[in-house]
Amino acid sequence: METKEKKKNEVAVNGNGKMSLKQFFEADNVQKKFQDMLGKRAAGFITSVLQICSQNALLADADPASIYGAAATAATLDLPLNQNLGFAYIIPYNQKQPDGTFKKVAQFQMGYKGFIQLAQRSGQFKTISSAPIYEGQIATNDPLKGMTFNWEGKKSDVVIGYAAYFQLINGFEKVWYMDVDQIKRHGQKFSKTYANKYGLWSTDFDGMATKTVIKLLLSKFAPLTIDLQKAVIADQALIDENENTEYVDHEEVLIDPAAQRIAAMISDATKMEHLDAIEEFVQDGQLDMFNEKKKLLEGSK
Amino acid sequence: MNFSNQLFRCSSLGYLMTEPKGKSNFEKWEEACINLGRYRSEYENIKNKETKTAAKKLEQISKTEAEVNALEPIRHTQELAETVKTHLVDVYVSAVYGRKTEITSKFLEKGLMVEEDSITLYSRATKTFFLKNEEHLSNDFIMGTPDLYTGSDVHHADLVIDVKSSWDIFTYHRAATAPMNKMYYWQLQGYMWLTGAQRAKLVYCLVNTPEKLINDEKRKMFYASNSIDPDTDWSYMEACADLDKALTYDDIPIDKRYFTFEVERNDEDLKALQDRVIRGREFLGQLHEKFYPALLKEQV
Repeated sequence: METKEKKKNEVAVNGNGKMSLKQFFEADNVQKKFQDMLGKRAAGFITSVLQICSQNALLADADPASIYGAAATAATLDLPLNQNLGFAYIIPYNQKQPDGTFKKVAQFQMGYKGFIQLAQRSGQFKTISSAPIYEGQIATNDPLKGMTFNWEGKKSDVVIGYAAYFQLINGFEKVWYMDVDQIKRHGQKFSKTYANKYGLWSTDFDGMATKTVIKLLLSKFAPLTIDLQKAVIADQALIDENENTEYVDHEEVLIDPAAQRIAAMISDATKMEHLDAIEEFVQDGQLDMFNEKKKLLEGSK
Repeated sequence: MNFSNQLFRCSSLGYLMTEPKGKSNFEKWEEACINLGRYRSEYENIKNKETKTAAKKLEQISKTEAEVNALEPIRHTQELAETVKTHLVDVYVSAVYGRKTEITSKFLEKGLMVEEDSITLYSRATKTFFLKNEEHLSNDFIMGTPDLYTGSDVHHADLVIDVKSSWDIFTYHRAATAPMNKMYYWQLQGYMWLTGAQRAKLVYCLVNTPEKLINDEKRKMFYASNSIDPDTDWSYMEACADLDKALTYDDIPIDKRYFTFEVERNDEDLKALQDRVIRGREFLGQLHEKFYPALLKEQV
């Protein structure tokens, strides 16, 4: 309880003089923006954003402007940001700055349910759905006509891939299938936080895989409404107050190979001698990681 | 242009030190001398010196004497191998016209792109932190930038290390099961000369191929196939998956992804290298004389 209260206070009052998140969202122009988008629901929406940030220590420290950008996008698309609903998310991300320091920012991310919701709202879809595909369920694989499935042919509970399908009101229909390896590679390619144990790929692989196939299906084959286009563009983007998008999650980040090497060697270390050998090379930003590993190895003696 | 101070890169010393095929001038002279002695002895043993056999033997002796006389003054000099001459022509053209001969290939490109990754792999595998050396070294004969070293500094190294990044798991294993490439032997001797090190290591690493290069390979595969749409052609997509697997190695433990050759400093070979550099400079001068005789006359 104390910790939650403290976090709330930290969100409300920022000791270093910078505007806190609460102050940011209390500003008249921000309030007006959300009221224009959501009307009477604006206050409740803003409250939900502040609540999400207060419950996440990383978001609590994130740049308020980036949180605002992500929240405004969700509001524009009229998608709730409640993590439990799975329509849209605000995800914290450590963005490397030109001077080599890191800044916590918030990234807008669509959930698969959000894409389905927007597709349904467009009025052009007769049906849109997705499903995990189990061993034995692939019936045919026609390079021209696409894949077909035998839902009765399930051999085991092993998920071999994910499929998305839609049929438009005009009759056009399409299937998009990716096997698990393809989805993992997609995640590795397009998300630098793929390996992050706190990222959605780790905590909700099913949801991210489903989103991936739906998003690719829609972006490649569906007539996209303005909202769907916006959702596709905004997904995994850092959005500023002018609604400019920047893809922090998979932009090229300048890395220091020596620092990466040290970090890998700290992680690899299984004996104190391993850490002793690299101690003189550890950089300031890696001291916490180094000391934590040292404690771990000392404790395991 | 003066080539008497031309420095040669360690990375191409292997070309400079290539020996010609066939016998050396000394071996040819020695063989001719032995033959001459034999033919003279055989002639002496012929009782009737008026016979055709005797006449033919005399002709053979005369021919061999001419050969010995021709080889005697050059018996201690070594004709440069064609490979060496070709390399020296390239050095000449680069020096005079400022052009480079390096042909870019996917193998070279990968080596440059993953240099740091390979050093990281080697560091992790040996539990020794290495930092890439950026200092360019030179002496009166050669120049180069060794990748890694151990010791107080690069001018007083104990051990110098050069890192090679294999293109794929197949070329990696082929290199591991073959003798060390002679080209690299001379490169390492050069680095030991420059750094003062007595030992050198050649380290081969197997690291992931950068995505850009994998995509280049996929693109080539696509153009070579009859595929229309890369996103819906399942056989192409399967081939891409195979390619990804063939060029990435996170599933292989790091201790299985490097191997080394060790080389000791050889001062005799370094002396031979020094002599060859001098010969090379002479050849460069001859080339300049050939291509710019008018220029040389003006300079005189």
